Amino acid sequence: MSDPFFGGQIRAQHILQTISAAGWPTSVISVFEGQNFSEPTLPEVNDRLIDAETRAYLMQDGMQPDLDLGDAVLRSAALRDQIIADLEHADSEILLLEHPWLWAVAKEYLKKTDRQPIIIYSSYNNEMQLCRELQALNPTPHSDAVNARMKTLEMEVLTAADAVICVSQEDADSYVALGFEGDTLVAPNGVSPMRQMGGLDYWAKELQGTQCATFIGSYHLPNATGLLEMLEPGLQGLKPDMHINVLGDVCRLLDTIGNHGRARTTIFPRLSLFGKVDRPTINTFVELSRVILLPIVSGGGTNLKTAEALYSGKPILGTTKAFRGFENFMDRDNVHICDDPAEYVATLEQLLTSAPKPTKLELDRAQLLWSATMNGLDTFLGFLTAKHIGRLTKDTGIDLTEVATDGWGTVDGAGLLWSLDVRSVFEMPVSVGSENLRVRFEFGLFNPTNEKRMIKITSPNLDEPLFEDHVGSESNIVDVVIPTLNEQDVTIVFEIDRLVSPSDHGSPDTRHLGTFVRGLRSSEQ
Amino acid sequence: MTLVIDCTTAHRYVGHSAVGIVRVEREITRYALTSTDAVFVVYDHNSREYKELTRDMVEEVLKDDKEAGASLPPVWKLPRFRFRRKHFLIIAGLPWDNNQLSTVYAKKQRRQFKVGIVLYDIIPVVMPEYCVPEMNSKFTRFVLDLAHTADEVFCISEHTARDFKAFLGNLDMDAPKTSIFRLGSDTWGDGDLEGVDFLPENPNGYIVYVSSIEPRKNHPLLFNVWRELHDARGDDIPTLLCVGKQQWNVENFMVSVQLSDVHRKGLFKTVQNLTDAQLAAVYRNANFTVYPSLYEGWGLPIVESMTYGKAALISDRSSMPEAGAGICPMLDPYDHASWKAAIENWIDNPAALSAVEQTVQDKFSFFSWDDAARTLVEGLE
Repeated sequence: MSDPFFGGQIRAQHILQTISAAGWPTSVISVFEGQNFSEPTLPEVNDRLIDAETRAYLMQDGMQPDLDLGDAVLRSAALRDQIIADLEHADSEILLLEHPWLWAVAKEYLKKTDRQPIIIYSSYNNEMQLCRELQALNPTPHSDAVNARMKTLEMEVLTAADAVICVSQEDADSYVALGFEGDTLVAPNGVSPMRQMGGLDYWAKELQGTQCATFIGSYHLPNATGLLEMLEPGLQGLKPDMHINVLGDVCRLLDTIGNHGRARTTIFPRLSLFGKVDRPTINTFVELSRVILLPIVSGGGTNLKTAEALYSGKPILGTTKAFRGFENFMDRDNVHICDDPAEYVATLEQLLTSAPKPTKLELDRAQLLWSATMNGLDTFLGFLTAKHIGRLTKDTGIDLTEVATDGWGTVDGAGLLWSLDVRSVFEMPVSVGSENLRVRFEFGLFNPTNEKRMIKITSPNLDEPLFEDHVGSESNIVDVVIPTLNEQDVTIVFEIDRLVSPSDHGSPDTRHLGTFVRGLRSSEQ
Repeated sequence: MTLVIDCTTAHRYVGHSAVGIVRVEREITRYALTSTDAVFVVYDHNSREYKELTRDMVEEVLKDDKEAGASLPPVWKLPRFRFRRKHFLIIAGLPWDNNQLSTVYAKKQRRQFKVGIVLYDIIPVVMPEYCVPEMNSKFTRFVLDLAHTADEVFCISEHTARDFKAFLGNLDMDAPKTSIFRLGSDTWGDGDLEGVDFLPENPNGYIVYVSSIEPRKNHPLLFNVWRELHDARGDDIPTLLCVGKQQWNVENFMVSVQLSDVHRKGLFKTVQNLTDAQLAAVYRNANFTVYPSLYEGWGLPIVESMTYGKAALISDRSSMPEAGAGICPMLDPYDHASWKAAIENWIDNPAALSAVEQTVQDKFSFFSWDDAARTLVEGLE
């Protein structure tokens, strides 16, 4: 998380950045198995490295490093307690699980805490489906057990989750088909606008006079099998000045699983396996390539690689599956879709033989940026918080009517507490020794004409208003931290410029209403 | 037509012993020097360009002298060579080492010159397990590139031509024009032993195996035969003299050799980096030669052995029967017992050995390197 490299890490980082930038206080807990671990560089990130015992547990025959990670962490008292302590320290209203792997640990935390956080399952794939495909590709005596454990885990997470964030509509639909009844948000994978290149002069010289395609993939079996399957007819027709550059840890997989039999002589002689390289070098190879290959034939989710390839403007030779979640781009001039391997290879030869197509930067490629794909995340979290605010509030033990002292009515059937005066007051109790009171409330207006009215929220403990703005029909959530003074109750004052009566708009309700407060929760620091 | 001789490999190994492919490229170059309109080039991997060598530089490259090459300028300083339609580029070196055919193909597309390439074997394609890692893909790529690039392929044996065509046939690819380029073999020196201090001092003489030491060459078979001979007969056996460099994937085997009694007693000996004259002395003074290789593209040491009038026990696999020309007795290289019996027979029955030597003298047709190079070039014309 501190130093993301793989697609999943990059996505998680963008989720974190999007949430943080929208003002949501966040805390991150991630668990690493050693490889690719680097000391945290971001203060809010807790990267936890698994210990040798846990690693040994995961290395046992039949174990899956991701699927069984949660159980493995539970077996290590130190690591388990550390993560639960991290969670307790974060004390979050929303528990967002990136992948389902640490659900077992999250469950332990939920047993211990009084809080009932909103649980969001941030999915990268339909894991059950992907697992079945992977096990079918590489069957072992443990395959049935692995599939069963995966199904149990993901179904358990889906049952517990209030919401799911998916990378594609297809994944979201698959969860609904499995009975998931919560809220879903589709936030596709995106790209970063920075396309810094590294070693351009060197690689341009190395690749001069050659026509090359580029394939980028991580150490993920479908990456390797997809390439081998789509190139199965063989690359012997490629001319001597043509080849495919392969970047990423998929090279290790390719060499292990594919470099034998017919593929040894028909595919591998035309592959240049570079292994893992840094992001600027990847950008350089993309720039120097005539075509980007996206030979994806299995797996779920959407591919970061697809977004990146589309954003580069380079010609793409892909499969239908590679464009899952990016269907809008399939009809572009420089996008070639082939699902038949013979056609795929023939098209590759043609693309490398014919005059290079210019890089085509579409104006609408901005919609591929993370800022666009993650655009709905803030609103989604706001929506969920508002929806579940009663649950969040109840935990704090605060009854709105007990703290509403002046200017308020009673809580109505919709759970809303309405102000009946232009000035209404909450008196929040504080405990001995607390220094600050952290308060979150959701409020809004009775506003049938959608005419904005000024709302001001103040506390005598602060010189500046807690909130001051013209508000329309939208629901607002405000988080404030108010210093406590002399162990006195903290006073919060809502002011509105005028009241409106529903009866003026055809309702039998003759009250004159100002603001409503739907939920209120507080914590002391 | 103007011959353009690619001297890249000879240039790279200037000052080294002329063995194997370096020898072939040198001999073709030497012959081409007799033609006034032949030109000589070297491939510059850094610039992906061919650079032209003057005839003086070529003479320097061909010197059989460890100090040779000192006066040669760096390749990047040489002038770029421009191919023309009338050119016929001959490549007889190691173009797979630097992906050279990618450049040749691209230049040929633009300049329409002709290309002829010597193909020694496709062993990394058919026996990848006996090659260095990476050679598998690198060499297979070379063979595919060759099929796309060459106007004519000069295979050094019928067997190699069959391997090549069968490989392409399996890939539904057409083979370019293919002809047989028989390698030459000359004799050097007159057996003078001056400067030859490495021959075994064994009253029973020695038997020689000229070959680099690598798994495909099957040295362990001979090592075990010699261990058994030593166990049965004691020190009263000839020495096996292995002439050739230690190459890849034989480290453990060489440790076994070093620890063995036959090695410590000088009955199993290895030497390398011999000059032509030293190698001539080895052949001339040997009792006979052996060649139990598992696979070859030709089997030049078999021919060299006969050039010096020496009988050879040879493998019956791949191209080696061709090289043996029906003169040398052939054995299954996986049949340890047959080799042991045949070697013991020639040790114990000088008459049997002499009979084969006589056949060599009667039937072997001498074919020099000059003959080889001339045949190749005249074939083009």
